Amino acid sequence: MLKHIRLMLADADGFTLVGFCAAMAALGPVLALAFFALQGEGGLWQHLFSTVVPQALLESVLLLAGVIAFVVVVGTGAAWMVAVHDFPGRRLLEVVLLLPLAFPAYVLAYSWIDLMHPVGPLQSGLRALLGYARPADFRLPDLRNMPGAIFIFGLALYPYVYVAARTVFLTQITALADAARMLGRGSAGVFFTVALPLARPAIAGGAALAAMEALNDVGAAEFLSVQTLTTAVYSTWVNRNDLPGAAQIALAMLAFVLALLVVEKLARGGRGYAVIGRNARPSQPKRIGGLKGMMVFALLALPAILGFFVPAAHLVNQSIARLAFAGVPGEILVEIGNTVLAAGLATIVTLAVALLVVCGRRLHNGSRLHVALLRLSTLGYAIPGTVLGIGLLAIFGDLDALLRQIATWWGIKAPGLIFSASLFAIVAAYSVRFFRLATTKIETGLERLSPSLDQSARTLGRSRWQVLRTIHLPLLTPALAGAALLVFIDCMKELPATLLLRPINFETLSTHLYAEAARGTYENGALAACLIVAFGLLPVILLTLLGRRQTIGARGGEGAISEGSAA
Amino acid sequence: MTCPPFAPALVLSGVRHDYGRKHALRGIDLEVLAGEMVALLGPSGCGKTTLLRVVAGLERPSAGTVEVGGRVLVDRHLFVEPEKRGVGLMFQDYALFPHLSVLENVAFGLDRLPASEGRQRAEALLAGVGLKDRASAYPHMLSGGEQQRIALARALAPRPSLLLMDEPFSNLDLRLRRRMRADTAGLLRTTGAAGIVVVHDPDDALAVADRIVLMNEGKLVQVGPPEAFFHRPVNLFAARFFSDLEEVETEVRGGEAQTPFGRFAATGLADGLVTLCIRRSAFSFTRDAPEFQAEVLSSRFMGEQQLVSLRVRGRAEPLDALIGGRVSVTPGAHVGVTIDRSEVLIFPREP
Repeated sequence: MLKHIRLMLADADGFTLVGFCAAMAALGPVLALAFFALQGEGGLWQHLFSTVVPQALLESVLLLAGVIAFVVVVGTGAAWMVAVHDFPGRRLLEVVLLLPLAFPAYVLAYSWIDLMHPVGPLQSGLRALLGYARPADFRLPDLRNMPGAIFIFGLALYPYVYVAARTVFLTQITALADAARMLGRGSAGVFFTVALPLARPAIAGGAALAAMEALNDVGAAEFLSVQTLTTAVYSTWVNRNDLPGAAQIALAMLAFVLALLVVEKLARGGRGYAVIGRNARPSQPKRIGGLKGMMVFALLALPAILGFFVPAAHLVNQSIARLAFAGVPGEILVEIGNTVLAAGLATIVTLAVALLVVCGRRLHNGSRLHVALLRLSTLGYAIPGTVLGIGLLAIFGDLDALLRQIATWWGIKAPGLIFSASLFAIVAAYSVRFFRLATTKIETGLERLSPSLDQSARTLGRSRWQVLRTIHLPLLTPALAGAALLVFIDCMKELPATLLLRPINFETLSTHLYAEAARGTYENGALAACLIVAFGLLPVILLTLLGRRQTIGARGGEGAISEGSAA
Repeated sequence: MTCPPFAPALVLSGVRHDYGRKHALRGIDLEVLAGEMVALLGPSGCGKTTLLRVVAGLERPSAGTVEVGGRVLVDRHLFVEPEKRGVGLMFQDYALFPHLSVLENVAFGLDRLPASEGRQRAEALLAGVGLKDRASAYPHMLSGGEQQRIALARALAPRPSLLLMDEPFSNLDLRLRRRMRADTAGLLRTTGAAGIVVVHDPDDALAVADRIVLMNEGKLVQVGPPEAFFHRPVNLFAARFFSDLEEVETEVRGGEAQTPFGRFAATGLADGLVTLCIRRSAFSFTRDAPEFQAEVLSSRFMGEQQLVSLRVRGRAEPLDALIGGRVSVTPGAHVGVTIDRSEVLIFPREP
């Protein structure tokens, strides 16, 4: 044991230090939460857990159960139809079904609530059509309740399951489906006996992601009048200014996330992704023609229409009306600047640190310490933005208090909030939360480089750092670009942590939208919403392009080492 | 072989290595002389590649010392990183950097020289392997044989005193392989570097090595010149690795082993169970004074020799003998057989 530790430390270098800092950055907020939660008075603790928490917990469970059921049914069903059937417009649907990914749940909720307003375009149009004069005479059901919330979250999040299930159906099921059909199973039989069991781990993974997103959300739940754990944490801090209380609920929420991950693990059935028939020829899709085919198309188009086209059209329409009425509002330019600044800084920090931690693990081949550091540093992905925000507030608040203390000792004028409520805090929150996105992308890129490349560079006299610079960095450029795009867009859309940590009067596109919705002035936020969705479309387009090239070919140098054939 | 006015190129003593619970190397002692070419041979998983990686510094051994050119690289307290060892390593997949041109690949290890000097040396090496005109090509544009030569040139560029090669010929077809074996050994000799080459195939070892090291299960089985493996294999494992043998399980009593093919003197062996091995080429047909009789089952023409399958009384499975290609053999014929007794090996049976 001692010998192991001695060896580990003898092997430590700059990579180890960066890995350690990254792991601490992810763990720190959680530890701080635990510390603060213990400081709260017992009475408050009791009050929270007898009134606020049970209600929030109940509503969270209901919401997540509904959302999971929605995304599993819609996502898996759509994936199955599109992957192994052929009907008019199938190619189009394959892509279009991805589009709701561009909508963060809070933007979708925002758009739909405005759309469904009693005097909004949808209800007015319907009344005109049906000949009713007053809103009181005819009313569509209100969205602002639990079923409405499940509907909105489901529409925004089903693509997670759709993407995961479709990949499995396309790459693994086809050959097996042929075999099952030869053994006399019908289409439904193949689905339930072969496809569904094999895709179960992927579906569980996608559903878990969707559930985490729903739990993470702060805007949509609030707009839709559902009180989740997240909104409870948020309002405890914002309305009551009660950090220990918020920390206590946040801790309860972390326990909830943990339970969710355990459920996911169980739902996977202890299995990883099976790797069968990876290179199998795609089998002939089953043809559905005529009227039946068109009905299938219409049914499958519904999630995309409701989850993207209708709300997007409404946002564009509203934005145009707004621009025609008042021109480009000055503050939107400032908000774009702020958004790009915060997201851009966070992207740079995240990518740089992720590159060092991932490559550090690879360059310290076989070092368990580095594997552990990488794992720990990616934990932030499982921490909801609100929880992370409260944790960071706790840490940075203390740091600021310390600074003030030092300033008073030295007799200098006390500085304002340097850490908490600053750009620094936002960038830290984004980096911790989206670290995993970058590391996964970089790891995938690295796996395609033979380890012998690193090792020959080492024996040719290059240090670890030089290997990173001269071998990894140039060969990872495509992976880094992909990672940068994903991280940037996710930072840009982030709402809960931004709301908690932003400096006073620092508005981003997402906080602007939130403020307008809170005020009920929906039409003013349409432009910001439009911009968020437009940016959100970029990774969707990337995903589509990658899907087209089913296997990412050995273009340029990347896979060429294994080819070894004459040009 | 070069005799040492110099320190040996490599000294390993008591080197052990474990992957988790698996013992990959169990106490290796080995000395490689300056300028010597040593082939590491053994079945897959015997630890030969691990040994190479330990010498290169890609694995840290759990015990033992590694010395290269008289300089201690690894002991209980010391571990010199691979980039500071001055040991060249060539990979099975060649590991050419796909984003660098051929010339840049070869010059990669020369970054401490002034740029013009590095370029000159890289160009000279490229000319040495006959690929000067490919300097600006990229690795994916090269054939397998060309990649192998570039990898060799790159590994030799920093003038290492010791070059390690991990199965350098295994990705080449047979014809190319023969040429590359000769070229590689020749090029290494001109640089004066010692070489350790891991090979899978005994033919590769015989073709390039001054000395062969045979490994099994993390231990050295036999170390010696190639002919010793033919004439004096230390055990059945070593004998099987280099020759096609007919084996008979029998026992020694009073200094003699009794077999269906006659009695064989077992000098120096205690009484007990043994495996008696006869090289297939030790058999020949004769009319006068045969040692035993056999019936021909089949024969297969193999060029200069033919493989004849024989049935012998007292032995259930057929006996395969390599006989001169011009002897006429017909299935069903009865023949008299003699054995060249210098080609018979007897090993005590391992418990």
